[in-house]
Amino acid sequence: MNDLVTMLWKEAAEFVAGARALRFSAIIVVFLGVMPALTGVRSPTAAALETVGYVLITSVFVTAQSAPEMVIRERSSHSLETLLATRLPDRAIFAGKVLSGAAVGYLMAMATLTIQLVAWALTTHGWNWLGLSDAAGRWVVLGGPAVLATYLATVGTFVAMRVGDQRSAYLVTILSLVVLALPPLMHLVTITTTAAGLRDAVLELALLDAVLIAIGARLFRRERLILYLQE
Amino acid sequence: MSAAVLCRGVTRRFNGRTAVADLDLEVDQGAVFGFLGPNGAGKTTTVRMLLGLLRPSSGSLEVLGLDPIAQGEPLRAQTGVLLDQVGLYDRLTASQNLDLFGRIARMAPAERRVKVEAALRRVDLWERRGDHVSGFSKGMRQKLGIARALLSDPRLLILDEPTSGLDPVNIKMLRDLLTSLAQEGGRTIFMCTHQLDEAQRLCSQVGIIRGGRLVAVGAPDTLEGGGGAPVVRVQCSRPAAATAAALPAGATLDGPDAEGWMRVTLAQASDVEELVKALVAVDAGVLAVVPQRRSLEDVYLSVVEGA
Repeated sequence: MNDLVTMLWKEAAEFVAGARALRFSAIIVVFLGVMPALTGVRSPTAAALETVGYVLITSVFVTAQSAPEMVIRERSSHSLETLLATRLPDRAIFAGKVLSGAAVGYLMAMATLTIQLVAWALTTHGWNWLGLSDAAGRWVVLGGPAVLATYLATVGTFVAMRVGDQRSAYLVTILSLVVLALPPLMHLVTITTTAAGLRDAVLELALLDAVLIAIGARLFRRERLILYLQE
Repeated sequence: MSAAVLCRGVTRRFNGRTAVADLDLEVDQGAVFGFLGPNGAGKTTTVRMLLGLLRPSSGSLEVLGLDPIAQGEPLRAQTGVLLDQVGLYDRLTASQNLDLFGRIARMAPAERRVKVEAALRRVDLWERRGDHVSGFSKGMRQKLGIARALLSDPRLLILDEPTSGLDPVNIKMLRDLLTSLAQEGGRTIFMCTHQLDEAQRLCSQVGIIRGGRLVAVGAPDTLEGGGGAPVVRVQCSRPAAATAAALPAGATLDGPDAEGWMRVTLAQASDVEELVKALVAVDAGVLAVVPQRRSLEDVYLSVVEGA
């Protein structure tokens, strides 16, 4: 646990010190935060659905950018090999990278949500909790960005191990979302756009995340990473 | 004295290419070991295997009495590393960089503060502790890298080309630091370097690797290997007669110079007696026979160039 905290401290310190990454995230958060309120007054139900969409989009774009960047930055500065030469266990390094990437995406999604709530209150008549008003909605609005960010952070961490270029890693990570669309398209699972339906989708994605992280923790080995770096 | 590094028949292959072949190496605890060899000779692969970052294809490896693969975590906890690329976190300050490695070493906050300050003072970077590393010169980065490697007072220090790419002033500064580390004793230093004079001055043991094979190993002053032929210098009062002597098989003679000194390269060291007999037989007036000690550079060049 100490090692994971150390990794999270390092990633947080680097993220905060990196003005460029913060700027990118801030632009997305502000844009997606005020957008729904600026596009006109709708019913609270329609706005709630929009809220979900914008919060998820924030999570996707920020995580797909930040998770691979955390690895690629280490690759280009050669600090990754030095990190691998320390006593830190493989799993702590892997979990640190995934959780940091996911945390950035999630926190930014929550910032977007907060801005949306405030913007809605300022541009309409009074306060409205939008998607947060019922239990299933809270699962979706608060849990959706978390599971999506975890999925992308896990994929992005591995992609960045193989793809040393930030832009390519970002695109491949984003494209990995196509995998999530396959089960519904193949009628393996059914997703409805009701709050309960979306909640179930969140839970299914959480299950997928758990499997993905377990596989990732097994595959994330120093020797493998050194060979990638050598290539 | 037990060995800090013990390699027995260590081989590492990458896709059919052999990077390190049948490496037998023993580095004593407390020794300053210089690992010499041209680029691509297998030094970095060896270092990676010592650190448990790469698994040998065959052979056995023991570092500080531990198996680097099976016991990698405790081994790396006792090892300080400066790789060929320093690998600092540019967005963090000098102090934060060391603080991170103190955290990784599981130091308590108070201990971390003391050790970070001591390490930064040792490399004269205490005044720059709050500066981001991105603004540091190459020399400062190397110094910070060494401070980081020393932070947890490791039993084994692995330095890969510590003076590479530095200007003469920084090279001297780093050499002074390495000299003081070597003189402290008690810590094993495994140093990959191209700087032969540095190895000659600092190291108690050196090994030369070429094409993945260790071709010479020993103390720098007495190093033999790689087919380097023994050489003696001979001074005769009648050198003209000496040139007509029947030299031992395989021996060649250069000279004489104005003072009657000749350089004789022998096929083997035991031929010296036969050489002296031959010179006496032709009445060359032997005044002196001096074995010529080859410098580390001579040995290095002879084994690396395959002479």
